[in-house]
Amino acid sequence: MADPVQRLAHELARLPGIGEKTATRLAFHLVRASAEQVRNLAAALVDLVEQTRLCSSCMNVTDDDPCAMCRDTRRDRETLCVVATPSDLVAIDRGGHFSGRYHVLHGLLSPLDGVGPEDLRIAELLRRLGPGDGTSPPVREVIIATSPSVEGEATAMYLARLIKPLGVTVSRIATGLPIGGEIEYSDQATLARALAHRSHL
Amino acid sequence: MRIAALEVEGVRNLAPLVLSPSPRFNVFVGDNGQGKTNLLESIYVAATLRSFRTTRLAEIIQFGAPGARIRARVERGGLTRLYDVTIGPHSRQVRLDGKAPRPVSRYFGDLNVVLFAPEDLHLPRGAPADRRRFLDRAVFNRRGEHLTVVADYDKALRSRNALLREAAAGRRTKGIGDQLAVWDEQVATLGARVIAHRRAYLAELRGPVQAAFDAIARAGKPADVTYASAAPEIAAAADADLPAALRAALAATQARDLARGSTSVGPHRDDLAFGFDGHEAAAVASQGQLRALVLAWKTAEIDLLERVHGEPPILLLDDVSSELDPQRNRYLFEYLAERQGQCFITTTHAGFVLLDRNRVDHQVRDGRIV
Repeated sequence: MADPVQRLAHELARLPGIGEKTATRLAFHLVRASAEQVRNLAAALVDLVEQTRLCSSCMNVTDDDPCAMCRDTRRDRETLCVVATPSDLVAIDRGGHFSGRYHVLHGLLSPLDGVGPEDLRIAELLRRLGPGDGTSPPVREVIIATSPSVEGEATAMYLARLIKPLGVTVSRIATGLPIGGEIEYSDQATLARALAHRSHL
Repeated sequence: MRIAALEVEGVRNLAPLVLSPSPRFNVFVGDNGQGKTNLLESIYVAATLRSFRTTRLAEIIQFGAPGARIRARVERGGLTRLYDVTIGPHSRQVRLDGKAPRPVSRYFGDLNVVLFAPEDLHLPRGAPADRRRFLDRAVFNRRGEHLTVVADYDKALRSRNALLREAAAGRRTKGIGDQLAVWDEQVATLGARVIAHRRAYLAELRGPVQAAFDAIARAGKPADVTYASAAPEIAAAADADLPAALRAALAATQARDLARGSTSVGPHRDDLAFGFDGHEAAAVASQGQLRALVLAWKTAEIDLLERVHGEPPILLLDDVSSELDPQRNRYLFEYLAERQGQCFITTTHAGFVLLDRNRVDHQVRDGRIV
């Protein structure tokens, strides 16, 4: 293998979900691709490191600070949805059912991996809930949208402990059966959860 | 339910194997170290995605092989399902009828296996950790969600312990109270569910174990199995009050836990208590009576599963006869002959297996089954 091809394959193989075989195939594909296509890809990669940063308000990845969502005046300023990662934010926003603003933690509490509160964007979240400068209405509700895993639950509970004393309502997204799901095919943990979190009709 | 076809490749010392097991008794005869238990382990892994011999599944991969693959065609109530597990050095791939089940817990439920191994007979005098594992395995067979709860509890517990150690070392002391409170809550909530599941299971199994023991031992003295929580306030709490009791117990021991860097109350400290004539069985019962007690447990466990699932579970009997005296060995096989269901039995001597009908014998030599 020529050295540049090998180098590229090596770098590609470090990406999540890409093994050595796929990396090699991609590298050889790019050798044969048009020079323009490859230059565009390279430019996009360079822009990624040079032009993105974290929004100083919501901590999402952006090329403009504050980000477009934080600047959007049609978005409800009184409701914040807290997510673990930028990709969680994308998943929730795609549906268009949430019109408030977001806050990205960039991880979940996990003592086993050495991740504590100071490793997450929690201080930045609390700052957003403070009295502010009076120019924008205060946040009234924080919706915690972390996964229903052990770490996700612990992080939600931790945030609730910090936020409730500030007089802000804290809520947690529901867990249970997926829409279009069949009860008979649901796993028992999900069913148990759905029963425990049933709602009145 | 029964395994109609079994294919195993790359598991420990086993040569690639294709087997169409008999719907009743499959007897595997061979000297020690020939691969008999490896065959039972393969079936166990196909059903539970765990091994009963190791916590690292990759250890079952044959030396020099890229991975292990186990496929089982299972017939249950007129339906056929294909269980397919591939294990690599760092991966596990699971397929049910050719598709990846999501979540993986959907894989469980239709293929119930009960393992009876010689180590089980030593449980009453063994370590509490082994008895907890034994109990959890039985509870999991009864209700599949127990596996997730135990795994989550284990994670919450290890997280709390990691935090305790960090705090003791002087790291992460900022806001440590809030952080500990969160993991206390997780340990309490999940721990309460672990305990409630175990208690409910024992409530179902206790009577049948006592009855089976009377039939096997004819000792004239009663045996008992109960759930023993180490902390009295947890033992005394009703199921609904368990989270609160655990929370209080964790709060009470927090100073001590911080000092030793581990959690001193919770289901990971509880025990499955075997009793005999009103005392701890390990202290007062004879060796033979203790084994009769475990045998009684196993038969009660099998009967319960059959009642719950409407079909007899598949039994894996790993060289148990060598550990039982002739009278109890006879009881075991009379019991097995009377019930329905498929059994995989390993033994060093074909004569130990006291079955004269419906049996197919195989020889196991050097990883090959003939």
